[in-house]
Amino acid sequence: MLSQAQFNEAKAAAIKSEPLTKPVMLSEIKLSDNSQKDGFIHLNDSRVPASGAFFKQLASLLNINQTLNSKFEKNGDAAIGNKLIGAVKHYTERRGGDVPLMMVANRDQREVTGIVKADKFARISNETLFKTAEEILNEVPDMHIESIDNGGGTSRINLIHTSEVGFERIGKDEVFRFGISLVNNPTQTQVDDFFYRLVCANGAVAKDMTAAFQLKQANAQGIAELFQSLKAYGKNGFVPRAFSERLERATGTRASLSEVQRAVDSVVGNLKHEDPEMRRRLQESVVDNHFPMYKSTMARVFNAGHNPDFLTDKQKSFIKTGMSVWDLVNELTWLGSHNTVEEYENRARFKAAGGSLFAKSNYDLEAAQFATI
Amino acid sequence: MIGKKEVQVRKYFTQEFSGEVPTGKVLDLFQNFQTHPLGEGISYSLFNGVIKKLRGPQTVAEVTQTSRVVATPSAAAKEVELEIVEIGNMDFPDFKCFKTGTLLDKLFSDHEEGGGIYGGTANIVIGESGVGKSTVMLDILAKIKRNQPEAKVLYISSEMTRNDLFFYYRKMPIIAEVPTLLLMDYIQTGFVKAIEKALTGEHDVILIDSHQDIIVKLKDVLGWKSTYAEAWLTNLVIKAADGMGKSIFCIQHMTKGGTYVGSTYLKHATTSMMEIKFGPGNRRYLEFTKNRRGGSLVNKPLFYSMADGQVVYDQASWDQLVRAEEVAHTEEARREELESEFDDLFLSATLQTSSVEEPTEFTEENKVEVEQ
Repeated sequence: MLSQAQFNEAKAAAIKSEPLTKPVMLSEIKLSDNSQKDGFIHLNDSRVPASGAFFKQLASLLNINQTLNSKFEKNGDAAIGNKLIGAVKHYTERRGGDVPLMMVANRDQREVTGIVKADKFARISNETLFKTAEEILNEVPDMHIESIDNGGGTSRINLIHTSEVGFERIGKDEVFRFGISLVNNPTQTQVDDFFYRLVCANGAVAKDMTAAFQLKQANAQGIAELFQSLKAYGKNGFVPRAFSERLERATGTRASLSEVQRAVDSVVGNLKHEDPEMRRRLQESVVDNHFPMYKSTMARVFNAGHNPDFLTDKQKSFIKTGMSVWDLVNELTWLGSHNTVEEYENRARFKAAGGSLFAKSNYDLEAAQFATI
Repeated sequence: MIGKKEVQVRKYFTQEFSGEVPTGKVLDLFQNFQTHPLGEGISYSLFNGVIKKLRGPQTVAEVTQTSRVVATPSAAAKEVELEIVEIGNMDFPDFKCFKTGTLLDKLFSDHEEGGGIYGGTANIVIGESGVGKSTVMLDILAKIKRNQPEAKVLYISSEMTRNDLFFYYRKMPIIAEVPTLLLMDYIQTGFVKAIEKALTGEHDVILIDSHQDIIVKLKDVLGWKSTYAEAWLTNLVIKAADGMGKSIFCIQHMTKGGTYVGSTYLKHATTSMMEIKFGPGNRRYLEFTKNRRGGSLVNKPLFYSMADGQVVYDQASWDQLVRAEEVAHTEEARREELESEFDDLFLSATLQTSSVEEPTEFTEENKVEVEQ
């Protein structure tokens, strides 16, 4: 639980890092041969620094296909850059006119970092996000702030209700507190589900578990609808629909090698340590301590005559591990909620990774038993 | 254009019945007509068609004056003297303002502290069948009566019978004292006179339930043409509102797709259009889609529910909407600040470095295949 001082500190930091925005028309953006390689665009005759993410988003909103987009990202090929120039022109001239866009910039990095179609920009400011959190705290007496994650251009306020909801039919340890996570990324405000498993003090955030719950438009009507949805959700104690059924599925389904590998990659890839030897040791230690079944499953695959490095994700999704999906969720959320010896770039990301895995519509091996029929 | 045979029928009624069409079966009238010298060579269907017309807009006398009458509105044919007056010198009625004592008053008008329903207004109320148009409007009349006992309200129902009304009353005891005129009582005789008298009488706030149903009855029962019936009723509503300072509410219908199906003439002539709708979770709400007395609160949903036999407006939802508006204003101002900061940071002269590369012009060579 956060103190008022910590809350205020986080609020001030979030307000300070508020992304700058500028509405522009597509035709106002001028690119040169080296724009992508050198990281800049021309806007109103000014040379404006632009991040790789910006070019990726620009390509995406111009419907440039994914393969081209990836090549673009990997080598910054000038020829591919030219194609982007062509796409901007093509889109402006052939798609029936200009396109209103919203450009997003990071004032500390002094570069534009994102771009979306203007009607897709649905975001309240960080200040309003924090005020909304304060209002929820005032209106719902047993609500408090579990944590605030600021980073990567995203502010996330995790609010939790003190009442405990047990699912003892599934396991005696399965007692939770529920809440919400108010999230502001640079172009979108949304409300994710947040739940907290008491036995190990793990917090998890999960998108898309409840029905669509995001700001749909950055105007009074959109804001009123968001407030209304929050209020209605609060009346139900913030317990996501069908949580118990999902929990039962997660505890009763083995995690696939693909699911475990994705979790392992996201954790070890986030380690902060620079020294290669230290990094290698820590990677091993993290895998041994949190994902012990990973190594044994890999060994099993080798023994069966396959090299796991050459298996596709799809093939790995058919290989069972000794962990349940729920075990895997808990390992991720534990790492996201506790300080450990090893340091991470953004530990809070694991809360979302765990929540996303839990909220996945179908687990890889959910229907595995039917393969034997 | 009217043909010779039709003129023949009209002359018959002028000569024999002073231009009026007597009540009774058309077949009996036709049999009498056939014995008259003018009845020669006229078929029953033509005779019947002329009767339908005569029971509608024009008097026999008007038509029989000439054998070829052009179907233009009689008002346009008359000499018109234009009365052009400076707005400051116009005569305005003493606008009364009626209050329900609820949150709804604010939506009706933002010209007066606390709002209210202004006299001299014609208003349309629309909503799909069963959404609660009559319920909300009857509740409004009852609350005006409760809040301002001297106000003369009137409910004109063309659709409901006494029995239907009983169940409304049982559901909403608050409407007990709403003066009510059941037009079904006049369907056999005096239907038109009853409507005229009710709309031009002593009442200040009048609810017509429904405008469309009255038109249907004028058409089906009295044989009026629907366009005429529509114009007649709408003119009467405008006369009562604009000319006599009354506040008239006309309930209208919508298609299932939510489209207004009533008179466009009425739609354009009205001061306000209030829509009653089902919202998320089947919660009902009302909102104005047009309001010449309360423009600032157009398209603002006011949710309501039924409690203790009356309509209760959701103050909390409304407050939330007001708060959302404040937030939206603040956000708009903040976005302007952020844009200005963006311009200062990226588009100011200092950033225009000397090594600016010229943007590449698009050529056929760099055209890209774009997924359509």
